[in-house]
Amino acid sequence: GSKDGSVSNAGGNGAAGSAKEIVLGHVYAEDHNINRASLQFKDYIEKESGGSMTVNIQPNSVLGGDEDMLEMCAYGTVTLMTPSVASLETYAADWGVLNLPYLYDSVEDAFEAADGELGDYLKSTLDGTEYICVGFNSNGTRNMSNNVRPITCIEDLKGIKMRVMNSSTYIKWMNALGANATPMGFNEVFTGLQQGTIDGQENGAAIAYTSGFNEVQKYFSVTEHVYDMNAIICNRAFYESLTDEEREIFDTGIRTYMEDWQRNTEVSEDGEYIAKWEESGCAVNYLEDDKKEAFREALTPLYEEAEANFPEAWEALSKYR
Amino acid sequence: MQILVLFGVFLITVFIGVPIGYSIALATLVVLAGFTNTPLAMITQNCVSGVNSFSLMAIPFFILAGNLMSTGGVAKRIVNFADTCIGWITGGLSLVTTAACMFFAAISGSAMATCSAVGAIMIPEMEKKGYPRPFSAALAASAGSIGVIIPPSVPFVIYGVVTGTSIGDMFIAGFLPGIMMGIAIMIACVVMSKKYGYQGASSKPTGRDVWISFKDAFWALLAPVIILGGIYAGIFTPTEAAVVAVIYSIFASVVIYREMTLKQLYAAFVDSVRLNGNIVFMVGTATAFASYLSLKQIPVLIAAFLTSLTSNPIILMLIINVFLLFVGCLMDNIPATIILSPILLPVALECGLSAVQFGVVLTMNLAIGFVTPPYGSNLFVATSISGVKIEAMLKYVLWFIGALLVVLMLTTYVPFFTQGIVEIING
Amino acid sequence: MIEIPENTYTKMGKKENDMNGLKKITHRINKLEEVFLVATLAVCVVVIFVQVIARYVFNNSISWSEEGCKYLFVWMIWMGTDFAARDHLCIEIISGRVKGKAKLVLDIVVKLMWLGICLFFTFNGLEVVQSMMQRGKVASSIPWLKVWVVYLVMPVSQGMLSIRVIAQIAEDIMKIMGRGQLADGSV
Ligand code: NA
Ligand code: NA
Repeated sequence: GSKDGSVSNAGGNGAAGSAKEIVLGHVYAEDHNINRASLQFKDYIEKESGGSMTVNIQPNSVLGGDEDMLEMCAYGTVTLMTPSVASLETYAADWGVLNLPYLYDSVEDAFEAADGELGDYLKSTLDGTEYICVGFNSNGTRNMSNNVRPITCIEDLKGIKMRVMNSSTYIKWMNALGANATPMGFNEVFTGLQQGTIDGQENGAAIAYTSGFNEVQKYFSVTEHVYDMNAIICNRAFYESLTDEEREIFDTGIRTYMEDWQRNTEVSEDGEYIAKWEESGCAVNYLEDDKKEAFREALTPLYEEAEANFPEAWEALSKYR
Repeated sequence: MQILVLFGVFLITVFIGVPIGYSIALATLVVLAGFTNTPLAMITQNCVSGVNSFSLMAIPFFILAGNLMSTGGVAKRIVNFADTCIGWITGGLSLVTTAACMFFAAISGSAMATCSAVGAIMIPEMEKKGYPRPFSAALAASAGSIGVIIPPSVPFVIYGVVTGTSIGDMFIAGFLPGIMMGIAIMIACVVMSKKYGYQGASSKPTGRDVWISFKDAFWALLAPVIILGGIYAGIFTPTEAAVVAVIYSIFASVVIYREMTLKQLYAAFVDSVRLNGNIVFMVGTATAFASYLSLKQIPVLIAAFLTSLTSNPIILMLIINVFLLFVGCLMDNIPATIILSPILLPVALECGLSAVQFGVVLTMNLAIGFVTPPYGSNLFVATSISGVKIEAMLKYVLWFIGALLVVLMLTTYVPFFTQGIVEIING
Repeated sequence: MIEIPENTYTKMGKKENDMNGLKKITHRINKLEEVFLVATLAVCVVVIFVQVIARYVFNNSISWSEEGCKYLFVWMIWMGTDFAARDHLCIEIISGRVKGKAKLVLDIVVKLMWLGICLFFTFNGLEVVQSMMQRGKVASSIPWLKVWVVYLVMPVSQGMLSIRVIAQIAEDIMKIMGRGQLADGSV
């Protein structure tokens, strides 16, 4: 109403100032490597730009989950974020190919694909939207934990109620592997495991450990089924508003801290967290490489479906397999 | 300046009578438009994303189940049974209400759900036994707060995830303080019953009386057993348990007791959807409000201010408690937990509390906030299910707040009740 | 406003006799909303119950049940703000003490503020929906469902609520001008 207007004019717009504020939102805890990367990014940007750009970090889902923040990012409430690639599938279906398991043999292949043609193609699917993808970092190597039995071969998954993200691709492949896919919000997983509504879950070792899942799980199986990525998404209007000089600083900051530093840290910490799972009393086993073939076989119809539905993305991806 | 305008607009609009949920949105809109470049769309988006929650759905379902139970003859039988057993004690039925809240707390992770499930059943029944409605409503609201302290508890899980504290330990640590809250409220009930002259309603029962009322209440008493057993056996989540409670109470009241007409069934549904529209939507506007605070780093400023006041840990914890109680007056516990726990935890650690103990203290402060106006979600639930004005409840609520503050002080300054128990259990 | 009738369903039934044209339309809208909301709640109860049965009896989850119910719930809540327009929670510390014409004036001021935020939600909601239509985001477990449909509840419900509040303000103004006979005192 008109009353709002009068109050706002009296207050003035001084607080906003002239500095360009980067609101960096993410869902990770303060000690998670993505937040530690964000803090270094903040220091770098604020120092190098001489104060013409500031970074306001909003960790821990304080502004909501990836889906909520992506909507906020469309308007620029959030300027920069690192959503899991799975959450972009609902905006551009091509991104779904990244959600299939056993695409690559190693995490290096996965990074190479993201930095190469696959990443370029996926970035281009966001052309004309409010988003621009400025890079990729690691959301960890996904492994499985459950309370029924260790996963040593595909038969072991049969009938286990596995929690998956609310992603149609995850639901499909988990069912194709013989498990009973149960989509559920992340914040309900702990209670679900504790009460037995679900038997197991699949996530990176670090995020699953820091969320306390080790307290309510018996078996941790290093299945390495997905080398999971986060897209680094920026509000397009903001990115385009940067001067050449600012953009240079911004890009360097993203590459140095949000990509290189974060990826290296995540990979090196992965082993530490698997050890922590073991220390806390869970039986840890490693899925043998030759047992992974049966998984790939069961997933073949889904690979073929992906190839038919998203030929360009699949072609780019295949170069790194 | 922004903080002043934000709280100023909120308090002024609330006190002249703008609906509270809309006052929160109005205050957020005014500061967002006046002081920031933040897109206004944030408010609308948060209003939707804030209520887009499966856990939140437990609220209308438990209210529906409560409505069905209280009109369908189920509650009547539970109350008759409880009344036969301890109703003869001075203020007995108020003790029954408190015990029921403690029992529901072990089923539900939410204070609003506990308050509504027990309140919808007990408030009309207590009125039939001669308790004034405002007293019963105040009691259901206050005892409902136990819902977030006795496990399972939604805020404990959130606190654990946000601060990296073991959620299993939180669940162990909340148990004793939850029981203590129940006992404190029961003591307040007995004192008030003596003061205001609420009598025991019946004479001392014989064993035969107890058996007859138990047989009559069998299907009714089975309801909590199915819900509680179902959750702990892992058959369903709390939201699903609430749905099962709805189906079960329809079954019990329509098929077994045959005391409910289709018209009553429909009316119970209408009451539940009404509650969604005048209470649950506030979670959405509160989410927008919380996002604004977080974006402007206002909680950080407040925390810095707190630590600059004193270095005495006892006084500092007292200040934190007072601050949290103040926050609880204005804000929902979930956004408050998300924003404040990472900021206040380092201060609390410095004061010598463990992370687990502080989690319980923080949650208990905000749980007391469920019954402190102007924003007290249990007061709203109690108002809605009883038809009693909040102002009429306050006289009684003050007694219960007093009792809960004693427990809060014990929890804050005696680590044994929380951390001590965790250490004993974990060996 | 803070007084919430225990069972408005039966109350509304009684009012049917002495109603003018405008009241009849309002009554019909209320009835439609009520049936819609009750049906939505009933659908959620059934879907979630079937989900529990499916998981434990047939060991098979319905993948869309949780997300689908959440979206119905969002509609239930915000359409509910219009349906519950008479029952919103207010503190009456000040307005409860003012009497006569002064109370009417205060009521109008309060309702103008309420109207302001409702109109904001209506028009801002329209912008959000429009922008979401362009993004074309779909529901993750229901790929044919566009998510803007969920957000559409904001402009729809708050637009309807705005009209309701405007009608209430108009009635208050008429009362001040001494033509109170139009109102039946229920606003
Ligand atoms: Na509880
Ligand atoms: Na409060």
